[in-house]
Amino acid sequence: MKRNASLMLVFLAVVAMSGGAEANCAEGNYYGTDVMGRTVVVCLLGQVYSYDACTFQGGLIRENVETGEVVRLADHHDAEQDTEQDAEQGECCVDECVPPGTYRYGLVEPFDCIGAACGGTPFYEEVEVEDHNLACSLSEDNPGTTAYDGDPPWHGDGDGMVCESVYSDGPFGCMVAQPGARAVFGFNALFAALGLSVLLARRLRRRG
Amino acid sequence: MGEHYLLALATTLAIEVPVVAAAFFRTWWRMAIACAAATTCTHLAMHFVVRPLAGSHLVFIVVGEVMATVVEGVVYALVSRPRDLPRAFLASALANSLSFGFGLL
Repeated sequence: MKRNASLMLVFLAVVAMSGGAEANCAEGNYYGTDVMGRTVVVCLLGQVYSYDACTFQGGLIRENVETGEVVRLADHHDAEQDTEQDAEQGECCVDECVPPGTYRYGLVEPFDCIGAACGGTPFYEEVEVEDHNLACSLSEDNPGTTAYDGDPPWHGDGDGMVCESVYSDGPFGCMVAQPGARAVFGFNALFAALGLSVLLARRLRRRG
Repeated sequence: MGEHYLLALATTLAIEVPVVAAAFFRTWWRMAIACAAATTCTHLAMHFVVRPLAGSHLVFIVVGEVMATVVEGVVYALVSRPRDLPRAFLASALANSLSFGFGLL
């Protein structure tokens, strides 16, 4: 009975690992933003975490949700900027002196759809700038935003998503979708089964 | 070192140390220290060695997690008194599965 249980664990481990090996890379791409007064810091997170947010895929644009005005962000970074987002490996783009309002920040060329990514792939990240302090000056090396003539790629798309996840957004659905999750759990089950088998055999020998 | 990284490490330790200590309950203090040390080393290696070298997120996750389970299992086997390889395998696999699973939530 106990031997059968151990064998079952091994079988499940092999099944899990074979399923996991087929999984595609499923870490999604998304934006990380931080609003500090009238400064908005935008970072690229996920698979694209190491890229420069100001220049990647055409750079970043900002749309005023109320007025529809669209501007292109300057190629401006600040390594000293304290941001809640993880900017250790990529350069975040810093948008200074943003007037109060609601804005959408997104890439000119949006992220490629990663269907397996939990939470889907977004076109933009929406932020609120609430600081009404009129006194604001750009940093010396910041040329400021420039007008953007085209339409943001998210126009015509109602939900702000390049695509939704093909898996359920719930925790157990995403657990299955995570890259290599089944491979990792399968290997650990095998490892545990080996240990458990020997422990049980040892115990049976002592009783015998 | 980022705040997010330290939080991830602390969470991993909070999950794995009690599991390993419970698996070796007779020498729980010794194994708790061994777990904390080994897990910290594998966590650092995973994020600062494996991740930059991995060609994809899939490779990073699978190689890193398997490495952690195997290395930690070996450490527990060597540190345990009396030496208990199967218990070490079981403890490492269970602890790593729980922390990996928590990280997916």
